[in-house]
Amino acid sequence: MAVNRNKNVPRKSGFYCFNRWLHKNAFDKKGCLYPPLKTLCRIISGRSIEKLFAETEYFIKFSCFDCRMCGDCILSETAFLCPQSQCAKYLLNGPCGGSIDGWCEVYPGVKRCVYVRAYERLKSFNEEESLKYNIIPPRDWYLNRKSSWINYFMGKGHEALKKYL
Amino acid sequence: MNSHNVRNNIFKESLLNKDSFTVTCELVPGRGSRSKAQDRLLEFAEKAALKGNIQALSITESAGGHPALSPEVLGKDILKLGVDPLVHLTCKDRNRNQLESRLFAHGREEMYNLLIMGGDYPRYGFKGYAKPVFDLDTVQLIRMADEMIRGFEVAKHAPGGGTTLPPIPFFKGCVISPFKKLESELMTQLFKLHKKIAAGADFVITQVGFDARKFDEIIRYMRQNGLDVPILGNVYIPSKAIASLMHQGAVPGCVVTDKLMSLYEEESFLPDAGKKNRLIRGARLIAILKGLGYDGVHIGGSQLNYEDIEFVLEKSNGFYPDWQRWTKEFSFPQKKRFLLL
Repeated sequence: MAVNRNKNVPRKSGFYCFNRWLHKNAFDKKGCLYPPLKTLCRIISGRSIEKLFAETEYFIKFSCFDCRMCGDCILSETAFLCPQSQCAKYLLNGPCGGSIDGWCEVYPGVKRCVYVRAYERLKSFNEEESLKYNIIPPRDWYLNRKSSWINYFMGKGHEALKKYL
Repeated sequence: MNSHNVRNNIFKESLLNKDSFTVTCELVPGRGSRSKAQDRLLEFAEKAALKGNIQALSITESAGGHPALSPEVLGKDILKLGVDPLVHLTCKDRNRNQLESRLFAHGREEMYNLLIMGGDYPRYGFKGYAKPVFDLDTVQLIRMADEMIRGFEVAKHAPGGGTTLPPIPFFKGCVISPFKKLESELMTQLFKLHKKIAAGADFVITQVGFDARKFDEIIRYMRQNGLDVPILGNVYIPSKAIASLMHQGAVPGCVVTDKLMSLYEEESFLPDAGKKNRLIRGARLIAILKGLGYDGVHIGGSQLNYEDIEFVLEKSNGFYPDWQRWTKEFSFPQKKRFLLL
């Protein structure tokens, strides 16, 4: 008999809840932090201070998400788990076929598959099906080691590319 | 414009024809450029061309993440013999530009059938482990090949940009791993399948598996969710050594349960080391897959020659009328596996 998918809903993690709240306020057009952040990023873009801003972003995101500073952040689409650092194959659109009992093919018993973790986090908000729809385009290496926040507000990166896909 | 001559693509025609049951076989080229094993693969292809009962020969690309002869080389020879090659194209060892170059080469050589995968994590190579590339993932690579079908548009700001390249009639497939234990593993596999098909996958091949219930589940899921592309079931006939590796978890994504492994071990004491039993089991799985409504099968295995495949295909025809009877015999599920349907 089939197993009921609505059972065993994982508990909401506090860290994940906080990140969702912060992201919504900073990067959603209706968010209270969106207008000042957008203005700030547009002023900084192209100036010498941009490098310091990018380093600050990296420091924060490395501490919280093991950021690799790709300059085109997809954290909000993968339940705030970074596939650039936590997927051995850097896969952006879902897992490979190699996982074993939820463990990564490359690090069995050491690292859980990042998409298994993302599914559990998303399911706690009944949003797991979001992994079905959004095709994430390839990482643009032109943006490597640049600030993803500035890129976002300047219309660069996959948020802009998505329209094309 | 130098457009492509569209030759008859037997594999594509067979797979898109609802009345035919497509058979493909997997060839694994080893390391080196002129080995005896590679000669045996060509011998296999020659016989397949002569009999015409196999619609495509699929050629792996550095299987297991180990270096091997490039599949397009064998593909070219196989095409000359008169069989359609189904060339594996993986993301593991090449960046997007190199993948594009290879797609152009495939177009030039008229090797239009592709099986697009991420690929096994690169392992032992020259003086150590190789660098894993994975610049594109499967979904993105399928999209790239799909755009080439319509004619690839070179971005305006790129050198030589603003032009559209001649279309290449690729027929590209992807794989699905339905034999997962956890809900999170299975569901994310299925979600990714949606993306692969949305990106342009023309057909699907399942991962190696020994659980008839799961073969049934994936085909029903595809039907219920409008994933209307042909699906081939993977019929893998392992030697005891390969089965043992799968049992130990050394072959990514392939599971041989304790029950199945003990069966292989018992059979290994038979005079033919259990080969006939393994072939018959493969034939029964083909019958089951045909009965479940699969569009074809993808046969693989270690140390199999053409005569073995012919034997399996012939036996499967005999088993087919009673296919439901064999499903009970072909049930080696993982303990406490998640069932969606």
